[in-house]
Amino acid sequence: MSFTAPHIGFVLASYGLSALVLVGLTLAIVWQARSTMTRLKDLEGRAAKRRKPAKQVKPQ
Amino acid sequence: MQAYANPTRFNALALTILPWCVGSTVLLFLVGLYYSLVVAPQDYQQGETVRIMFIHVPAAWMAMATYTVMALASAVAIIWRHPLADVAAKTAAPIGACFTFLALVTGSLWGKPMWGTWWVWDARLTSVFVLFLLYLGYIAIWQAIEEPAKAARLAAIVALVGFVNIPIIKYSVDWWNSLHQPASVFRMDGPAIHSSILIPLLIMALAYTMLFLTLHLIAMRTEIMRRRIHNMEQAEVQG
Repeated sequence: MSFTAPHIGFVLASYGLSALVLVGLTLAIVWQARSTMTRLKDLEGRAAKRRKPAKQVKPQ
Repeated sequence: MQAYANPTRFNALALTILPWCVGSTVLLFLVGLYYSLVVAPQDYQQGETVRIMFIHVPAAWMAMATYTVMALASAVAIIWRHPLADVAAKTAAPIGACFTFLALVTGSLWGKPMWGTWWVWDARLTSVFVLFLLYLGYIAIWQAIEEPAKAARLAAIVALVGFVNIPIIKYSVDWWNSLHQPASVFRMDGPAIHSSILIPLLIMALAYTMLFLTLHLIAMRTEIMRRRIHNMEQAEVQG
């Protein structure tokens, strides 16, 4: 690719914008997946604690 | 297919294939960009601006393909009430909207130096713009209606009605006089472009397809988790 060719700015803008949008979309989807996973694990942990009855401690 | 209607099975399958999808997406983008920016020659008429085609055309193909996936999933959701179908349709929409936005903007960036204008209201450009509005409308329905079952039904109807736009986009260059060039890859008599341009274009199209598959799988898993969270929170409130 020649960086001195006419209209090269249009080519660079197209690739730059595409990279920005696709990387942004990927990061947004991955971030949502991680935060949702954390929230679900937190809720499952709380639910498991509620289900588990408190253990009786035997007197020694 | 019915076996994978179970979200747990779907999650297990998605976890198995996701690393392969990520790997092949990265590899295809690296090879595709190398071919697009280094190997492919300048066009005798378009010069360096032909390189915009390697990202514009795959974005436009994926804009239509994603909507087709959304419409098919919506049909399955309405007809067979497949538990994952409306999850698939809902999560495809933002990805499709991004592809459509990129097709419109990169097309405009190609149009200015080649046609002398950023935009014309011709059949192809206008129908793709309508596709973008359909994506936004579909996303807005999911955002606006609180009850998931009602939102799913209305969104599915909109997706199916909007599908009429896909053949209009495809054949707009044949049915009406358009500034946009006619199909040059998917033709009855074979592609009309040289292999030095066709190969990078097809590699980039594969890269975009794999990117869609990867992002869609991740987004579907997230949506399944989100629904589980919703159910657990409801149970917490009630119990």
